[in-house]
Amino acid sequence: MLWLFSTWCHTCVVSVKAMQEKQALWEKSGMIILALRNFDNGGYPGVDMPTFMRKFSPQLINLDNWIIGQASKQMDQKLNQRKFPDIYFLIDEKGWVRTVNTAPNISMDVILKFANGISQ
Amino acid sequence: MNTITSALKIVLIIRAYQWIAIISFVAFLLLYLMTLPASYTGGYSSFEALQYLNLTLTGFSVLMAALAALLMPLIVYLIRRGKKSSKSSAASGVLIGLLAPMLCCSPILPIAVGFVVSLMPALGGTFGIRMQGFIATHQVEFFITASLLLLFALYQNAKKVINSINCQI
Repeated sequence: MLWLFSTWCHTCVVSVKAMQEKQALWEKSGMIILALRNFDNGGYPGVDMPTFMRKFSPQLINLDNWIIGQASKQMDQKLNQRKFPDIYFLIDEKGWVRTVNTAPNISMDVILKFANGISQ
Repeated sequence: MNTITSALKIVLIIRAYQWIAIISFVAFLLLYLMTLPASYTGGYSSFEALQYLNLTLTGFSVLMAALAALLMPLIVYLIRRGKKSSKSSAASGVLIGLLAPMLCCSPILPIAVGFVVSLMPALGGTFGIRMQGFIATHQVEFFITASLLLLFALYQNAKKVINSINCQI
């Protein structure tokens, strides 16, 4: 799961908490989550990723299946041209993008189905 | 404040207007309770949004629903008496309160801005995202503005109710 978000965004705060609640499932299914702050935080100021993660989901820091960082300008231009503050891509083992969606807290069932598909 | 109280005393003494106020309060409260947390649901106003209510959002929902519910009987009263009511500040107050959370952190604004930019490329850039960022970080200020506009509309219409009584005499 490649997840690009801005740290000022409300869905991102509740989504990161929702993702933390399901961590056991992600670990079991072998899903790797790349949570990256949008380039330049989506064009609006906000806290950096370590501060954001420490504040809202400290349990996700230093886990093997979570990679936390910052999206580059090139990545932003290729994957998030419309500048969505919260967008994720579910990518299968072969590298195919299976789903593009927003707000994991609301679309959690889609992520769960995808994760279950991986583990089967 | 006296103007508002006096006008409400004149209008709400009639049972039909009491019902308008009660029904409006319930309808607006439901609407605000489901819409104010929309910034946590990607812009969707639904029962699912209720789980994201906090003290601030609940407080503003009750406040704005109460102001709108007091406003409705005054507007209906003025219309039924053939008088002009002030609807623009009331509509602005309701719209700001409802649109601010729906535009924040949802795909609505980026898609709308994308469409505008496709027609007028000169408007390109990060305008849409800046606007969303601004709304997300200043939501309380938007709710205060919406409440003040509703209060202003209440005052304007209350003044008209009192004037309409004076004219009758």
